[in-house]
Amino acid sequence: MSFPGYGRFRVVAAQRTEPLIPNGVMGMLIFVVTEAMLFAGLISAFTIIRSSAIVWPPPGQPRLPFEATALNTAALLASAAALYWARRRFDRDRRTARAPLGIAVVLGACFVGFQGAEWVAMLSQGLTLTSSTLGSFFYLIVGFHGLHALAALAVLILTWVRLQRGWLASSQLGTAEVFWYFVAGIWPVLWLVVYR
Amino acid sequence: MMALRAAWTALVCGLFVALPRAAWACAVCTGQDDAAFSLAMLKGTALLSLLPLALIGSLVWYLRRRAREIAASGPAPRVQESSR
Repeated sequence: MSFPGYGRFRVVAAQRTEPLIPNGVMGMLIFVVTEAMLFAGLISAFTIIRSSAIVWPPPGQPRLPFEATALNTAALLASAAALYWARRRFDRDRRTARAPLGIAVVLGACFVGFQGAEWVAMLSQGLTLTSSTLGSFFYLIVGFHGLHALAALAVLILTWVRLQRGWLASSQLGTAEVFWYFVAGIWPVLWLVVYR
Repeated sequence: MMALRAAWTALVCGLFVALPRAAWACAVCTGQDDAAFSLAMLKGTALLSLLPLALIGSLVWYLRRRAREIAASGPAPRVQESSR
């Protein structure tokens, strides 16, 4: 290859030995950023509707169980801490990461299960998707988060199975971590905004 | 009869002049103190404006930091010059 005034060059392919971030982690980060914007939009809409209401919660609607959900919030945060612990152990000796990853899965399942029970209780008290603006926003925002929690829990379980079988790569654990940290990190915000 | 109608019209117009906020407001907002609503709108606007900047900025900052770490630890990609 020749360029006027620059002599002859042979361009060889650049050999990168290590990517900046594994592709899976990068993809999950982009997904998480877009989902964060979606939740921000929902939170913003809820805050505006709530501020324009004369009475909150609307007449005839139950008060959301703020205190009872605090325990559930603690379980989810503890699950994220267990996952962080699993990562630390994975980097040293991956076999020792089984127990903390299992704890993260169990605590995450507790969160999802408690959320389901709470929905049943709320429905029996008359809070439905069409009963009021509170019901609409509650099931939209919390339901959307629950959907994410279910998907992230499935990823965590898959990660744990792969770890058990010795197939788990560091990048796969990183991808699951990003998703679960997002689910756990956004929940306290939703809890404080929607339940209080 | 005409005088009564004129008086009634004048009264309604007078009320609209006296209560311009109620006259201009939509049915949903009439009669409420809108300070909380305005604050919520402001907070929502700030959140939706700043959050994408913060998220994308954090991602770019992290990628740059990783690139520097990799550059410091290993050889950089190279372009080989030919003698031909």
